[in-house]
Amino acid sequence: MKHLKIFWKKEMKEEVRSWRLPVMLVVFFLLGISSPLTFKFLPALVPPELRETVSQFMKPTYAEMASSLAKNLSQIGMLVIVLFSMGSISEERGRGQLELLFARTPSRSSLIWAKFLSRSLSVLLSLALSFASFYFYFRALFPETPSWQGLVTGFSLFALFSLFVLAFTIFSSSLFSSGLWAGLLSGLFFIFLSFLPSLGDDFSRYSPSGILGMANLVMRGQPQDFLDGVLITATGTLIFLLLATIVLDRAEL
Amino acid sequence: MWAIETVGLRKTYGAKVALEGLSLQVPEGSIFGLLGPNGAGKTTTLKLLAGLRRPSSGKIFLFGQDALSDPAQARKELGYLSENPAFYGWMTAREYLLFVGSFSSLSRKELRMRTEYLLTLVSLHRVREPIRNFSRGMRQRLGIAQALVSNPRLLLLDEPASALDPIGRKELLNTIGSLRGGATVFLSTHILADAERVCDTVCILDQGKMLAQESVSSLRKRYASRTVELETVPENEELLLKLRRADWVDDLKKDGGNLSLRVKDFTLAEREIPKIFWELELPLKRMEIKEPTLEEIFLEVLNQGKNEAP
Repeated sequence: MKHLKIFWKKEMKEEVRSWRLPVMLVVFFLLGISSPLTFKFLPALVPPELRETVSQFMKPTYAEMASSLAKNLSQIGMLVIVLFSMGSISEERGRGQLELLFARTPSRSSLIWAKFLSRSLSVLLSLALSFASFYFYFRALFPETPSWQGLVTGFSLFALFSLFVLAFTIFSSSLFSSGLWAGLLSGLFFIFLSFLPSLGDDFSRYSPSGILGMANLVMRGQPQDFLDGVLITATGTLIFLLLATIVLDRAEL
Repeated sequence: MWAIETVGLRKTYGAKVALEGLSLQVPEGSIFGLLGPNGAGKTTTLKLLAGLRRPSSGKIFLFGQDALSDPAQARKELGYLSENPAFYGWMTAREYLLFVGSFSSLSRKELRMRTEYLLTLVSLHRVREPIRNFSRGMRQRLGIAQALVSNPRLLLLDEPASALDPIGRKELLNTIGSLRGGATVFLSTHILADAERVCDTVCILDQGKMLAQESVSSLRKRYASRTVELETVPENEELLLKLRRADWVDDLKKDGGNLSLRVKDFTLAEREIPKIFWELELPLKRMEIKEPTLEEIFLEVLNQGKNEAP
């Protein structure tokens, strides 16, 4: 526990000093405000002859904008999480930074958990900022009142899936000495996962990526039964973290 | 008690044997040098001792404790410096020492004092910039400070002086020398002059095999008195002929009036050389027994090892 605290403090400092947290906050803030801004101002920016076509595709309703936010987060947001975490273990391992630490016998699993906890905090803060900025910009630009319940549930589902993405990326990062390979493996894994829901209702219900689709629908105001997906995603997160600790424990430095 | 004892330590990487049955004992409080050419297995040995790699077979005991079955307990008083130490570039040297020192049993106050002491020791106490801006020498000095931060009983140093300038090297060797009798220092180096200066005992490795392990003084004794240097008149063919024909002479090199003889039996040489000069009525201006340097001993041991290899 002592080692976990030491590593966590170091990781949190690193999140700030390496600009990871500030950059993530900015990216997620932009993702949050992009839907209300686009829906509000894009029709005014396009040539008059195209305005009618654009307004047919971009109906300025809360449901459409929430759906747009969900799509942005599930693509760009998750990509940012992978990019920012793919070097979490592999870079320190590749550079030899872990040698000096692990010769002192702090438990290697503490490092994995510290990385997961600190980066989870960054991800959750960024996501929260994204949803909050979406909410405030929507309220400022449109007369409709957004559904709090839908937003909070959507945020929770996105938060859970983001932690799953983080756990898998940390796991893949523990396998390699290069962040690039870790990123590639994570990318391929999530492309594979994103195809699963299209294979049928059962895949959509029981696959971790299925909860993203459900989050989208919930945010649009359509209640969903997401309990199975939540349990599977949470279990998957724990499994990948445990696998990462096993891999790092056995790694030769 | 031995600070380090390895029994039949072996490490393979696929088909490549990096270390072949290394059995060594390092006395507590001593400074032990691991010598060998590149690829001899020095870094592998240090990494095995530091628990960063697992041996393919064999045993490691640190202060009598089995380091493979209870690594945490056996290594709790260990300081380690890798060959190319890597730090977190965004930290300052002070932050890094406080960070790694917090894994030790030192209290917060002790750690702060220890950090300031070590920063002064390695001349980094005035440096405020992040480690990413450090030169290689500064990194090496910080590496030494971090190895010492927990006041370890056992210090494992992999090529500690390799990136230092002559002044830095001298200071480092003084620091290592000052640890004698307190902490046990196990260092690998290819700079033989450094090993000669600080090490009590050395182990010579080549291609993963141990060729010798003994104290520097005993190695010197074993290889001592093998070379005699003479100064006389230049180019006396009769003298050269007589010396070459003598069955106690192994090898003769000449440089003008300076002769260097490698002899089989120094007692015999000491008696016979003046006799030859007296018979030929030549002046013997200087006769000196040349102390072999560790470098010469090292090369000789390596050559012997190669000749004995099947």
